[in-house]
Amino acid sequence: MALGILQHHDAVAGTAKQKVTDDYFALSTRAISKFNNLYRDIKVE
Amino acid sequence: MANHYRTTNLMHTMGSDFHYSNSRMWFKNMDKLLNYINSRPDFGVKFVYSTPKVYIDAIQKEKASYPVKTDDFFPYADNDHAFWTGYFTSRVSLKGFVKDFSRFTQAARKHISELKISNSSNTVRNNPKLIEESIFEL
Repeated sequence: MALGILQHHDAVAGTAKQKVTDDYFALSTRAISKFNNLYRDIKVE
Repeated sequence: MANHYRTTNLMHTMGSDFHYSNSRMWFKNMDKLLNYINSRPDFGVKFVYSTPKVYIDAIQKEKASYPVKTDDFFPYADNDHAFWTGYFTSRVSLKGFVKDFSRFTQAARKHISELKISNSSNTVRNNPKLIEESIFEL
């Protein structure tokens, strides 16, 4: 979902205000962290 | 408009950003426009709802010939002296991040899918809801 939002033409264009761009990064990094936490458990199996 | 095209069938696209959230409202208004235009033979046009396939089939029947276009459409400009070039370079780190994130997501989805199919991971097997949520949020 985060990647989908990031690829919207008003997002990837880089024309948004700073606080909106900050939110894109926050949303994405949160999703990546969540996946990585899960993936760490898979890797140690 | 017809003077600028090689066929008598013309595509007039409808909609724009955020225009498809309420189909009842949208088509009620489109119907009004189409009915009015079609009720005026003096306009010399007939409007019909269509699809890419219907349109392509219709213009193929007209056997028009087309020039070969070799250059590209960029940089895009929608007015005199109004080039949309800023977005190529605005926030390059965000653009790079989108590409990295895309590769990451593709790899993650593929690997989790394989683990699901082979049923070889206890973590994947025991946490179906968490797995689904985590993939969805990417």
